[in-house]
Amino acid sequence: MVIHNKVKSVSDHRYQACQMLKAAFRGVPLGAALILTAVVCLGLFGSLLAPHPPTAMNTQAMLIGPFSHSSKGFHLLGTDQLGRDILSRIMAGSHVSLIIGLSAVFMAGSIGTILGILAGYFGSWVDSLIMRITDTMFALPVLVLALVLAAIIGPGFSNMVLILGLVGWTGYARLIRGETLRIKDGQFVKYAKIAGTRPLRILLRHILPNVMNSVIVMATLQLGIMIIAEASLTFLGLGVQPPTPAWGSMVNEGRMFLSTAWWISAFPGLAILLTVMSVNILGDWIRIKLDPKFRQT
Amino acid sequence: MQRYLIKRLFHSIITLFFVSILVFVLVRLSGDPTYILLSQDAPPEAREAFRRDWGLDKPILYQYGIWLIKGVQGDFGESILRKKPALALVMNHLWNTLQLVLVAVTFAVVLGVVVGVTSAVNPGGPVDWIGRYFSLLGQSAPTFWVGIMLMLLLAANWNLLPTSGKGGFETFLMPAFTLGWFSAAAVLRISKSSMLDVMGSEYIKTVRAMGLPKSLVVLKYALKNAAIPVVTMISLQFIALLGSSVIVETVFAWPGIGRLAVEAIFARDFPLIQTLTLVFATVFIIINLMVDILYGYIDPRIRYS
Repeated sequence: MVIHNKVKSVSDHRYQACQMLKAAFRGVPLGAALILTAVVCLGLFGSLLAPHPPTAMNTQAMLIGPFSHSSKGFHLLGTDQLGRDILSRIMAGSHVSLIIGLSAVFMAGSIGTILGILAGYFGSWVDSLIMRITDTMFALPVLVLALVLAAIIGPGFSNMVLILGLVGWTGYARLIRGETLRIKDGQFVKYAKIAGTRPLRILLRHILPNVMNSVIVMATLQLGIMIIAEASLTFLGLGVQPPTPAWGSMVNEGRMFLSTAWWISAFPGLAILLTVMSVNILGDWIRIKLDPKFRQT
Repeated sequence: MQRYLIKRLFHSIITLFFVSILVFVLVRLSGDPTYILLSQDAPPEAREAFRRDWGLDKPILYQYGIWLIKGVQGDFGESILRKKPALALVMNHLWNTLQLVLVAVTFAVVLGVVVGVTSAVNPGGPVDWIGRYFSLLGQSAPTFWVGIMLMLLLAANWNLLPTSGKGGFETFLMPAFTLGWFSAAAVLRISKSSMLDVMGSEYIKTVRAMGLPKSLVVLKYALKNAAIPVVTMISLQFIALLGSSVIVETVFAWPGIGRLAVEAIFARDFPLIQTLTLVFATVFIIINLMVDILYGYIDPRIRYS
């Protein structure tokens, strides 16, 4: 009898966990989730899955259109000016967009959150200093600042993360500073102070968990923007350098052959569009889940 | 109000000062212009002479001091690349960019507000449905790709519009749409949600219950109250568009400051980059100030202290 009960309670737990999981994913936009899953898989295994080696040139099959064959095989999306398979290059290029996008959001979010909490919690000159820096950065167009930084640090994969992280944190700092100002006056922070908790512990245990929702909401808004920003810099020639396939540089290469071979520019751009669109749709969904304003239902 | 303005003006000048320092230091870290503007095998003496001519051999603090003193008097030096006074060069190009941005913002505001308000008044209708997809696409499509695809379809394939460059009104259409789509989407979303908020409020329900026709309620009572977030969004978009003009002007060979900025950064044209960023920052600050003043007119509850 006892054993039976125990078994039942285990299955009960499992049932509950299942229900919670179901509730967590209720209303997830399926199409967007599928596309994003596909892009993530491509980002992880893209170069393995690609039908052709992404940097292999083929002078016999330059600029051939979608749905055509060459000596190397079938080219679903055609080939570029050097005879490289467009589909394979798009698949191999997806990890550039994804990894740079995600890392840049992580970096910008970390810098902005730390500075925002510091400014909000300590006030006085710390606040003035951080807010003056934020104002200064706000007064410059993000792309121009990124271009100047790219000229200093140089192009390349990890430098792109650094550049986008350094130009992207100001929004977080402003938002989190405001949140911190609000939370700082809460009873629990006052009690913690009275109990003699050290400032660092207050920041980490009491303030940070309370601003995390806002950080995540902002990050979901920013991921799409970061992917486009990376592609834009790469498009201008200051991002990830050839021969590494990247969506932005592929669009740029196709500009020269626009009237004869539209597919070189069209498909990589479409890949950016689909990825960013899925990110935005899923971001909206996460935002509604996390935002207390919408949580009644 | 006056005290507030003076305070804001003071803050703006400080921000500009910081911008100038930041950019001055950054561009000097970005590399040696002699390696880009002189040939690879130029002798060291030629490089020395070049640096002396442009004052680049002095300590950086001294260079900044000279630049600041001259800059306050309106002399921002000469562009190394174009051999013309930097300020005049930037001002010439600024007007081209402002024209393009104004057309794009007008397009974004008219379309965004009309579609946004209509969808909020008739949720679930055809306008709401189209607007939803229009804004989703606009916020997800990379600007440079939209520009290239428009060029491909409208200019290369169908020969409807000129490919690039600045001329009559027809040359504005493609760049302005490319530039404005993202903003139209943003304005649409914010005006829809703001209008939905207002339409659900008690006083709108009251006037509706009193039997006033819907169109009158929307035009007379709801619009003005929904305007504040929309005005904020428009100002943010104006600033964002000035920034993304870098991309659109490069794609469409538009003779504006965005393209000039790319050119200057690639050539390490220090005086030109400094002047450009300072002009960018000034325009941004002026727009923000104008919006703050505008708030007071839209919402009399906002008083400046």
